[in-house]
Amino acid sequence: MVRKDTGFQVFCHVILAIMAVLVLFPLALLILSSMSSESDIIKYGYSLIPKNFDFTAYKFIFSEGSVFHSYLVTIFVTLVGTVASVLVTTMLAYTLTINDMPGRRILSFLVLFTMLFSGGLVPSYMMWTTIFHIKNTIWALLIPNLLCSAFHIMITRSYFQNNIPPAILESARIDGMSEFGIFFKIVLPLSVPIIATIGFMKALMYWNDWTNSLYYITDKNLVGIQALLNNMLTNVQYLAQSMDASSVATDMATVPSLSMRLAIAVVGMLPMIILYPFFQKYYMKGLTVGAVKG
Amino acid sequence: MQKKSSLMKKLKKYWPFYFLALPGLIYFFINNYIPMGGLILAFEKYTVSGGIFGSKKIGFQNFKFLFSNADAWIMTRNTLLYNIVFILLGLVISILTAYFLHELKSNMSRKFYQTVILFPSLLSIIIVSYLANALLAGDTGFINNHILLPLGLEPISFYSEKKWWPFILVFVHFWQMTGTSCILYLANMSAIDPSLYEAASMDGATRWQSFFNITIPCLVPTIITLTILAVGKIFNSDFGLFYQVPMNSGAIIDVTQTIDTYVYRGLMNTANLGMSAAACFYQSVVGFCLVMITNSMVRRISSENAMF
Amino acid sequence: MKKLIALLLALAMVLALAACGNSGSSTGAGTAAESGDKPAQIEKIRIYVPTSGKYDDIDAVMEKVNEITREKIAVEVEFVPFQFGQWFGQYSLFLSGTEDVDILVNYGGFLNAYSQGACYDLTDLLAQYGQDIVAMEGDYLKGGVIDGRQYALPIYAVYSWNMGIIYRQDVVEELGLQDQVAAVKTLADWEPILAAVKEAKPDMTPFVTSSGSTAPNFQYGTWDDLGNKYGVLMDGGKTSEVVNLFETEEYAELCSIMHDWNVKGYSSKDIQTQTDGFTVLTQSDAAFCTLGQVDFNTPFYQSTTIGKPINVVQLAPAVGRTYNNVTYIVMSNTKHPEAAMKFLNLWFSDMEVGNLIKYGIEGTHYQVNADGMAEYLPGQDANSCTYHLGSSISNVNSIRWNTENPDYAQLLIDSNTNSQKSVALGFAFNTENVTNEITQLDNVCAKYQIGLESGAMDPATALPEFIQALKDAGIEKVIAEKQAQLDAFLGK
Repeated sequence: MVRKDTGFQVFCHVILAIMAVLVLFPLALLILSSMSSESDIIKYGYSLIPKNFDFTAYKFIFSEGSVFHSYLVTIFVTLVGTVASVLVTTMLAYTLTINDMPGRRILSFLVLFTMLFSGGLVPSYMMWTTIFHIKNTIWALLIPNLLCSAFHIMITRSYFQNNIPPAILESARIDGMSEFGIFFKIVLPLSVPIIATIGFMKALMYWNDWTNSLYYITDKNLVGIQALLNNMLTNVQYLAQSMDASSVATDMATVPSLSMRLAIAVVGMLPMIILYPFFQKYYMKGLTVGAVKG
Repeated sequence: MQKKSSLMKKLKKYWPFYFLALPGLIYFFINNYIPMGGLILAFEKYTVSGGIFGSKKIGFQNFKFLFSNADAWIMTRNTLLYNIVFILLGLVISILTAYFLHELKSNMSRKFYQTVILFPSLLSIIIVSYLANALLAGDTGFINNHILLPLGLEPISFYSEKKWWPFILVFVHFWQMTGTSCILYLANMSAIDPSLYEAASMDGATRWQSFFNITIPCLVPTIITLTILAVGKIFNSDFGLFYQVPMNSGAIIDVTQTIDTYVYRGLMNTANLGMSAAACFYQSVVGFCLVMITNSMVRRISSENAMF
Repeated sequence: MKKLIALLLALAMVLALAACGNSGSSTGAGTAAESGDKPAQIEKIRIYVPTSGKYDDIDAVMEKVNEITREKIAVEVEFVPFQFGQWFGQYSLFLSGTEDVDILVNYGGFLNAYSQGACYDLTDLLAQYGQDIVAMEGDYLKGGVIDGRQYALPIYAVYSWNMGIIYRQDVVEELGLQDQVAAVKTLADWEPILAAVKEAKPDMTPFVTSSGSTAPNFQYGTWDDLGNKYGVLMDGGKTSEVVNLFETEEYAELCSIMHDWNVKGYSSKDIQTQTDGFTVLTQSDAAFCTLGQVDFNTPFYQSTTIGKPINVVQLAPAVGRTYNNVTYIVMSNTKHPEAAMKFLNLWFSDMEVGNLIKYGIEGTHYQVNADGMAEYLPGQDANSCTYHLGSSISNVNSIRWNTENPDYAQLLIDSNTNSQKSVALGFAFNTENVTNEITQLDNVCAKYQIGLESGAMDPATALPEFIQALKDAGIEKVIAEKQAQLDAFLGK
C-alpha cells in the first residue's frame, strides 16, 4: 500500500514537473529576451543566453514617470474590486440555491441570460457616461463589466449547492439564527475554497483589465498599469510601423520595439508575481480549512 | 384572500434572501439589461442623428454578410471544432491536473506547481502571441534555431504551414487556461469529505476506483455547470488566440479563421456598428438555443443540477 | 500587523486618489469661473486629436491659444489629445456620436464617418469662413467631397508621391554600388544590388517591408487605388478606366519579383509575420531597403527619423492622388458649426496659432534658433519637454523644427502644385451598396494579399487562386459600382 502510493507520488511529480517546465521555459525566454538588445534578437534569434545585456527597454518604460503611480491605482482597484465583487457574487449565488424561494428559476435564468446577450459597447458607454457620469472617476475602473459576472455566480452557486449540507443550515434556523447570520457566519466560512478561487479569478480580471481605462479614463492620475502598458505597446507598434511623414517625427531612435514588448509583459506581471506568494499562503490555508470542515 | 396571505407569508419568510440578491440583481439590471436595448442596432443602419433607437430599420440586411460567402462553412466549422476540443479536452486536463495537485503530499511542491501553472494567466494574449513567435519564427525562432538546426533537421516555416496550427492553438489555449480552470476543480475537490476516501480504501478500493467512484461524482455538478456555460459560448472564440497568435498570417487562415476573426477582418476597415451588432446577435442566439436544449436535457436527468 | 499595513496602504491610496480627483476638479472649476466673466457670445468648441507627442502643459498652451482665438474669431477651443494607442481603440466610439466633441480628426479616411452620418456638411460654411483653406488647398480639397458636398477638410500635406525603393545610402557607398544604383529604372533592376548586399553584409536583411506585416507591401503602388484597392486606375490615374489591380500584369510581375527575392533569401523567411518595419529594423542595422511611399522629402525625413543616411529610387513620377489619410471633420451633432469652421480656418492659416498648438509656448517649451528653426530649450529633450503636441492641420502653418528640411514648406507647395494629378483626384468611393462584398473581399485579401506581396507565397499557384476567390466574393460588382460612381463624378 505504502509503496504503491510512493509510485503515484512520483508519477504526480513527473507530470506536474513536465507541465512546470512547459510553462517556465517560454517565460524564461520572455524575461531573458526582454533584457537583450534589439539587434541581437534580430541577428541571432531568441535565445536563453543573451549575448549582451541591455536594459534600454526597461529604461524607456520607467522613464514614463507614472509607472509607479499606475501600479498603485491598479493595486487599489484590484483590492477593492475583488472584495466587493466576491461579496456581491456570493450573496446572489447563495440566494439562487434556496430551493423553494419564489422566483428562483426566473432569477437564475435572468442571470444566465446576461452571459449570452449583450447590447454592445456603444449603448453601455452612453449609459455609463451620460446617466452615471463615471468618466474619469475611480468607479469607471471598478464597475462596468467587472463587478459581477454570470459565470462566477453560476460556479459559486454550484459549489454552494453541493458542498453546504442543508442539515447545518436547517439546524441553525431552528436555533433561531437570522438568515443574514446564517449566510455570513455559516455559509461563507464553509466556502473558503470557492471564495479564494473566485477571488483569484476576480483579482486577475481587475489586474488585467485595460479596456475600462481605455474607454472611461483620460485623467492621467487614474490610468492603471495595464492600460498604461497597453498604451505604450500600441504606441510603439504604431510608431514602428508608421512611415507616414504627415505624423510627427518623435525621437524614436532609442525605442527598441521587439524587446520593448517583452519588457512590457514583464513589467505588467511583476507585482502580481511578488504579491502572489502572500495570496497563495491564505489560499492554501483556505483549502485546508474547507477540507476539515466539509 | 388566502392567496394574498400566503404571499405575504412567503415574502416575510424570504425577504432576507431577496435582500441578499438585490445588489447583484441591480448590477445586472444596470450593467447588462439597460444597454441590451442596443441589440436593436443589429437591425438598423446606424446614423449619428438617428442614434440607437431612431436610425433606419433595415430588417435582416446586416446579417447577410455572415452567410453569403464561401468562408461561412469554414469559419463555423473551425469555431465549433475548436470549442468542442477545448470543452472536452479541457475537462480531462483540468480535472487530472487538479487531482494530481490535490493528491501531492508535499505542501511545498504543491505550492510551487500551482503557482507556476497559474503564471500564464497573468499574461495578456498579445504577449502570448509574441512568446509563440519567439518560439516559432522561421529565422529568429527558438525551435528552428536551437532545436531543429543543431539536430540537423529541416527548419519548419510554421506560419505558412496549415497542418501545425490546430495543435499549436490547442496547446496555447491550454497553456494559458489550465491554471485558472484547474483551481476551480481543486476548490471542489478540497471540499470532498475525506472520510469518503477512508471508507473506500478500507473496502479495498484502488486509487483509480475511488477517483472514478468518489472524486468524479462529487465534481459532476461543477462539470455540468461549466459545460453548459461553455456551450453558451460555442459560437464565440478568443479573438486574441485566433488572430494574434497566428500573427494574422494568411497562409494558415483556413485553420485559424473563426466567426470572430472573420467579422473583425471584414469590418475593420468599415467599422459598421450594425453589422458587428448583427454578428454578436447571431452568436448569442445560437448560444442561447444550445443552452436551452442542454439545460432541459440536464433537468430531465437530474433536476437539481439544471441551471434554471 | 500585516493587516494594519495593508489597511494603511489602502487608506493612503484612497487619499492620494481623492487628492488627484480634487486637483482635477479644482482646475476645472477655475476655468469655468473664468469663462463666466467673458462676454456671452464667445463660443466654446472641443477637438479630439491623437498624438505621439507630449501634452502635460496643455492647459497653459490652450490659454495662450484662446487669447488669440477669443480676439480674432470669438471662439474658445479645448484640445483633448489621445495617445495613438488609445485613439485607435476609441475611434469608433467617437464616431458613433456619444461624445461631446465638435471637431474630430480621421486617420485612414473619413468615409466611415460619412457613412454613419457623423460629418457636418461644411459646403456653405467653407465658402463663408474658410477662404484661407480654399485658397491654399485648391483641388486637393476635393479629397473631402462626396456628391458635390464638402464633408471633410484634408490636411495640407504631401499629395504627390509614388512607389519607390528606400535604401541605405551609406551601405551603397561602402560597397561602391553608386553607379549601379543610378542605373536602376524598375524593380527588377534592383536585384543585383540586393545580391551584392546579401553577399557583403550577412547580418543585414537586404529587403524588408515598410510597415511590418500589418499592411500590404504594395500599399503605395504606382496605381491610384481610388480609396480602396478593389478597382484602381493604373499609371497613377492617367485614364478613367477602373480595372482589377490583382489581374494586371504589373501586379503579377511585382508579386513574382517579391517571391523570387524571398526564395533567393533577400527577404526574411518570416517576412509575412514580421511586425517591425524598415524604420525600426534599420535602426539596428538589420535592414537594407524597402518599398514604400516616396515623395520629394522622403530621403530627408527618413534620414533624420532613422539617424542614418537614406536615399530613394523613384519607380515612377510623383502623382497627386485620391488617397487621403488625414482629414478633419466637424461632427454632425455639433452645436457650434460656425465656430468650428472659423477655428479650423484660423488654425490652418495663422502661424502663431499653428506654432502654439504644435510646439507650445516659445521660451517655455521651445526656442527659435539663429536659422529661424524651432528647437528644444537647452537641457530639455523629447522626454523632458512638457509640451510638444506635433499635431497640425497643415504642414506649412508653422516654423520648422530643427530636424526638418529647412525648405520643406516651399518644396511641399511646389510639389503639390506642379505634379501630375490623377484624373480621379477628389473622387470618394461610397461603399454603401457593396458593403457585403467588401467584407468578403477584405477576408479574401487577409488570406492572400500579404503573403503574395511580401513574396512568401508563390504567385504561380496562389495568384490565380486569389483572383478566383476575389471573383467569387464579388469584386466585379464592386468595380462596376466604382466605375459608375467615377463616371458620374467626372460628369460622363
